[in-house]
Amino acid sequence: MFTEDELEHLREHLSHYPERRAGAIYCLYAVQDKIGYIDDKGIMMVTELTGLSKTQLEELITFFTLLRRRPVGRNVLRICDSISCHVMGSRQVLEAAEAHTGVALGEISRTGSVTILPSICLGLCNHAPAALLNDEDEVSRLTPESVQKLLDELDQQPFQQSATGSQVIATSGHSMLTEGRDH
Amino acid sequence: MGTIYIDDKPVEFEAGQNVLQATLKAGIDITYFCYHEALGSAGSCRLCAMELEPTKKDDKSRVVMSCMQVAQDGQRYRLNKGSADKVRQHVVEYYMTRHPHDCPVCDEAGHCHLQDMTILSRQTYRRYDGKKQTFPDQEMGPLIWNTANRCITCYRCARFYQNYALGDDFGVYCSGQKTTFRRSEPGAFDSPFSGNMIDVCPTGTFTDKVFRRKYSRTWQLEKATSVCNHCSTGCNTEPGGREGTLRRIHPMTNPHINPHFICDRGRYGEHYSEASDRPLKCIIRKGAKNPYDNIYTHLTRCLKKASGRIGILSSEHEDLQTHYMLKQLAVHYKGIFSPFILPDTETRTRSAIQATQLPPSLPDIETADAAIILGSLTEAAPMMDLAVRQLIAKQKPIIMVHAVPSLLADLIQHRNAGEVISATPKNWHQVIDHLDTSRLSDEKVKKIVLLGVAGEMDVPAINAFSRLKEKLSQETVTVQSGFALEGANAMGAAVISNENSAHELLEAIQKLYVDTLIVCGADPFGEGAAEWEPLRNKIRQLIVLDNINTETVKQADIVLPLATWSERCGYSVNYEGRVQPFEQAYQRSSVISPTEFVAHLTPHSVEALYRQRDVWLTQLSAQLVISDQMGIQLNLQQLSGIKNTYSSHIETEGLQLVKLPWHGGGVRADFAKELASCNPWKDHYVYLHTDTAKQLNVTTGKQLHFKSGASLEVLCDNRITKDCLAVTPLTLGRIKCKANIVLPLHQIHTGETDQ
Amino acid sequence: MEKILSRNFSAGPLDFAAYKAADGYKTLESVIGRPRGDLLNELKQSGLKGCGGAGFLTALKWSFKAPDAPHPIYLVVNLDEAEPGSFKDRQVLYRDPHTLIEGTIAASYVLNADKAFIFIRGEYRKGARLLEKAVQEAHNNGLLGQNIMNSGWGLEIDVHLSAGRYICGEETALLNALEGYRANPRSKPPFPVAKGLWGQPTIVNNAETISHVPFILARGAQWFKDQGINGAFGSHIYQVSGAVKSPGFFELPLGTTAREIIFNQAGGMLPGRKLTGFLPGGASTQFMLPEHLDIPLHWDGPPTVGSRLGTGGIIVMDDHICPIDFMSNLMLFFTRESCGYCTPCRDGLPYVKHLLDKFEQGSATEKDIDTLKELCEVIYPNTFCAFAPGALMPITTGVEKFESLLHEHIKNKGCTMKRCA
Ligand SMILES: Cc1cc2nc3c(=O)[nH]c(=O)nc-3n(C[C@H](O)[C@H](O)[C@H](O)COP(=O)(O)O)c2cc1C
Ligand code: SF4
Ligand code: FES
Repeated sequence: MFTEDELEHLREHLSHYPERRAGAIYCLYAVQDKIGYIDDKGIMMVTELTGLSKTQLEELITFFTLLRRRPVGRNVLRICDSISCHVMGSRQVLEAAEAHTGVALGEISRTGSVTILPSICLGLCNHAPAALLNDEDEVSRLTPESVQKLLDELDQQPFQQSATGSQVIATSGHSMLTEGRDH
Repeated sequence: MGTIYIDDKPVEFEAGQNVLQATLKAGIDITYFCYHEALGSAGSCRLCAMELEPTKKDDKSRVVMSCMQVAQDGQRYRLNKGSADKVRQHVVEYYMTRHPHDCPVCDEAGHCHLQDMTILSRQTYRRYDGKKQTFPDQEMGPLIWNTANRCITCYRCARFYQNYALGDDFGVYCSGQKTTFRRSEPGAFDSPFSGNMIDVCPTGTFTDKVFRRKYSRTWQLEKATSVCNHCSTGCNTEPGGREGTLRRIHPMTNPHINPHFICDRGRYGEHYSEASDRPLKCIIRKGAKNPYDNIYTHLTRCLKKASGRIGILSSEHEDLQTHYMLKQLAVHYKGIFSPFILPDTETRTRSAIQATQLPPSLPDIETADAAIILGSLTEAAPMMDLAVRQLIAKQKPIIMVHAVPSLLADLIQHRNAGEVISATPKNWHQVIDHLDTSRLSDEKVKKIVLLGVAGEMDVPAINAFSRLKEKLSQETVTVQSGFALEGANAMGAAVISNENSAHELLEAIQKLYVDTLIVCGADPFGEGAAEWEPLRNKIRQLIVLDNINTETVKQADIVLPLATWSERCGYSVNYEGRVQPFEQAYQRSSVISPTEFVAHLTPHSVEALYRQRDVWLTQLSAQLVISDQMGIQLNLQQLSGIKNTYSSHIETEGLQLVKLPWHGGGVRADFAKELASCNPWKDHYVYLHTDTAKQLNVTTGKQLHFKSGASLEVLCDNRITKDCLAVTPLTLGRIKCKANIVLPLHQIHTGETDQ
Repeated sequence: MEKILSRNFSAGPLDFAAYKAADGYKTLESVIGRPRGDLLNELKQSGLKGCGGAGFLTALKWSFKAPDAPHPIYLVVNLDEAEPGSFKDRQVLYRDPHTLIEGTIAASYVLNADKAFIFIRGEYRKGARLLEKAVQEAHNNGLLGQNIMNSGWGLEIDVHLSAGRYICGEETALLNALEGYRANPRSKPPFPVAKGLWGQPTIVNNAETISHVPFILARGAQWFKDQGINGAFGSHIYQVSGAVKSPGFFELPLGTTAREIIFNQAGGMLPGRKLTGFLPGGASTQFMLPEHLDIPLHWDGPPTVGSRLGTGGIIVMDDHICPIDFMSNLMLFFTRESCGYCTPCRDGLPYVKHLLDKFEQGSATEKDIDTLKELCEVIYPNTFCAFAPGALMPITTGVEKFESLLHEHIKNKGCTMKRCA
């Protein structure tokens, strides 16, 4: 998964802290950035790097929203549903987006191009309703129409195989663990 | 020291105590969840709210969490008389917005902390009418049953498992109302202490899966205070039985031994009494019996005939009362009695007792400043390991020497908590003599505990242990030393028997002075096969009392069903020399106790035997030094008869045969099927380090042949020390070898060279 | 008033050379080398209060550090900004990262800190990258590392990218997150100043607070005081969001009125929309009403009408949204973000949300109003950290200020408003 240089970089990073576990999030990000989510192999690797067990890493992953243990689409779109965006209509945006993908929020769209997630305030309240694409790119003043257009564009994007070849993941089950069940 | 006032009632506290502790100590009813005596305060449940009255006139009173308040002299708190009452009610109400109303089918019902707190808070009607947060249950192996919805998120389980027992395969997942406690994967826990989750959980989230299979409401159980018979620690337990069968084992508080917890072997190992092949009937396989005779009439006749030629064998796993009664039997029939199966065990035990000085209790271990451990402690005495874990948690220096995989060694290494030396037991005496103890020479180190595992040490190693103790003892440093002995009552066996008793008995059989053998709670032809098997044909009559289906039971001419410790009373002496009584928890109709057995075969009545026992115990306690509610502690140095004079010949060249220990295993625990199913080691294999395998020219999957004719398949495992052949205890019996012997290379063949 | 924190915003993120050319890092010349006691005193005179939301006097917090505090001493810059309606720290991070570094160096010097961690919320990853680059530049130019400006004092800055969760902004939860634990808050005492990161003395401050420091130290307390109006000191980056014409961020004198900010700076309400209320400083502040528009938004203004300045991120509520729906959305945020440690927060807040939803769905009864009030009252002061009290601030005041609406919802069996056009 990682080259020796990358591993060396991670080890070096961990050595900055009095305790290695402080660098756990950094290492988990490294895995996720590489293959889109944190798989068992990635967990094993971070276990070796940080000395934390699989359970201890999962304690972190399931706590922090931006880390994930299961595959996502080629893109991740986080649509804010906190108050300023809500006031400006994010509910309709989310509904439109969900309808467009044809799967529930959090699932991989049928085309595999995107996973849509509701998000807490992104600090983009002045662009409400706002979203964040792939945790980097800001999307402003969404409407039901504009979000569908954006999703269409993502569908059209040329399919790119990542270096590790594992960015595209076909299906995933709805995680009982992270979502709980409502009866 | 000081006084606080709870609803105007004065309550004494000790320095450093928090308000909740003082309140509970004073016997005042107060609701709480997350606080636990051993785990401390977390401040998370918010159920122990009290109102603190202001000290200045104009200040307002405020609601505080009593578990987070250090008690200060003169403080006045309102428990039921102030506004905190409502806070506590609300907290319970919040819990019930998610806790299922499934008390009728919950194992915990009736002894559930949540039920008690709910009643105590008077929050007994529901007004929440929304959906409840739910969670999937997790499969947690054969010992623990998980009902995740019942969790009230007090974090006790995780605090116990991670911070106290130092396990890392169970944790807290997700956040907010979805917070849940689980393992990353379904399956059994790695920790030898997982059963305690059942007790620390204040609800029915974790329940005893073995108990669940033969459930009874806990108030309908017949219970008594007992002593665990699965290692020499002697933890106090409370077996619960019903309709003549054992249902569950619950820890019993003993502040000097196990204030809170017990290990899984203690909790689940006792279910051997329910094994389907347990001998529960008298069986006469040989010797014509008058059809009108009762079995004891038959036996008495046999014994009278054999008088003067009788050997009586018990084991270090049996209790002191049994030993005492059998000794009376020996006196009556002029027989020879030994409570040790093998001379080696007796030797090691006697040497270890001689080397024991100021034996540390579990609380002593927990509060030491450093520890030296010789042997796989987790597997020999799990609760001693749990005490050592408290030192690891506090980052105290530790040195450990071991030969076979040990969870404690892994933990020390993983946590960087000290030094771990892997060495073949035959070399331990040198290793111990050259141990670099500089890491313990910190001036903060005032108390060092030195713990040995007797079963893995030879006499030279035990002698080296004594030298080490002398070396470490200084004016400013106290060294407390003790051993995990080879049986629950090994100490008692040494106290009651003559020197070299096992050797004497074997010799008497060898020389044909003895041809009738009574065996009680021992397995000479399984566990002791190496020395006993060759004598089998010299024994004309084999009479066996036991509660497990051992090899010896299978070979017996007469079998009598022996009561287990939970099914009778007795006394046991732990590794510290603490003599502890245990009581009968429930009655199983078909079994007999050793006392009844002896009473049937001698003119003495049971009562008379008990009276004699009392006299003997009083004499013994004349030598006692410590006395407390839960038993007397013997002054080991004053005890005569513990001297060790026997020594067997020790080979030095070759590979050493060692027992693969497992924290859930044991002579009897192996018959507890749920626990035994967790055993990671396989019988009928020999485990080797790859280097040793190379030396023998074998690889995994190949066969190794032993002198006895048996052969075993090889499994390479680099956790085994080089120069060791590691096998399970059962396998040891099969290849008819003793543990710890050194086999010259020519006695072991690979398949290839044979052909 | 002079724009300080936003002085370089329009030029985009400046690199080191451009920043330097625009007088960047100049303040350090008058900070590094000066006696630390004098500097702390200057800061005290300035009356700077923490911009993270609580408004604690910065100099006072710093003075709690024991004179013989053992090294290493840590400064943690809190850039976890996740309070809905707040986006001021983001602007400094994305538009002028060197200003943040300048502040961190100055503050660390005063505190004699050995290492500073800038803790950035995961959603600001791009900003973290900009900052990382800026830190590298500062390092290359001798402003970080050992013996900075020949003072014999050295500093390293570590940019820590977090991975989400609002609770990480709570200072003790932040420390846990930074150390690689789940971000549950720690019990106080001990306070981080005494025992923080890895048990060492640690000072946690908001990113904006830290960015103010060097300018106060270089230009003097009086200058800083003069920047504020209506009795307040300094400037502040106000933020406006909701149905206004130009939502955004505005560096203004602290003490500017809500009317000025909403109706002048942010251009007033969108056509056809009417202001029905606003939260002055993020989701965890109490409701203010249109009649409160002329109250100066500084530390002492909103409290006169039962609210607080918070982060100064004004969330505007208009007549297109039902206040109960508004509150329910806030509770959605807070129930989701509760760390799950203590009961009143973890299980009490969802209960509150459930009740609010009953009004919207039309199944509420008069009794639910009492229950709602009772819950707010009991949960508020009895949680482990300040998260739940914050969560309940808009609810308690909302229930009180819009109580007639609750009755209406009961009568009409639900909401009759067309929600969120
Ligand atoms: C739930 C919660 C969330 C918080 N989030 C932030 C935050 O995102 N950024 C911040 O600077 N302070 C936040 N705070 C306040 C911090 O705990 C702390 O008081 C602050 O960082 C101190 O800095 P200051 O004195 O400069 O304001 C939060 C507090 C609470 C209780
Ligand atoms: S599982 Fe039990 S012990 Fe653990 S938090 Fe839940 S209720 Fe407490
Ligand atoms: S409320 Fe949506 S970005 Fe802030």
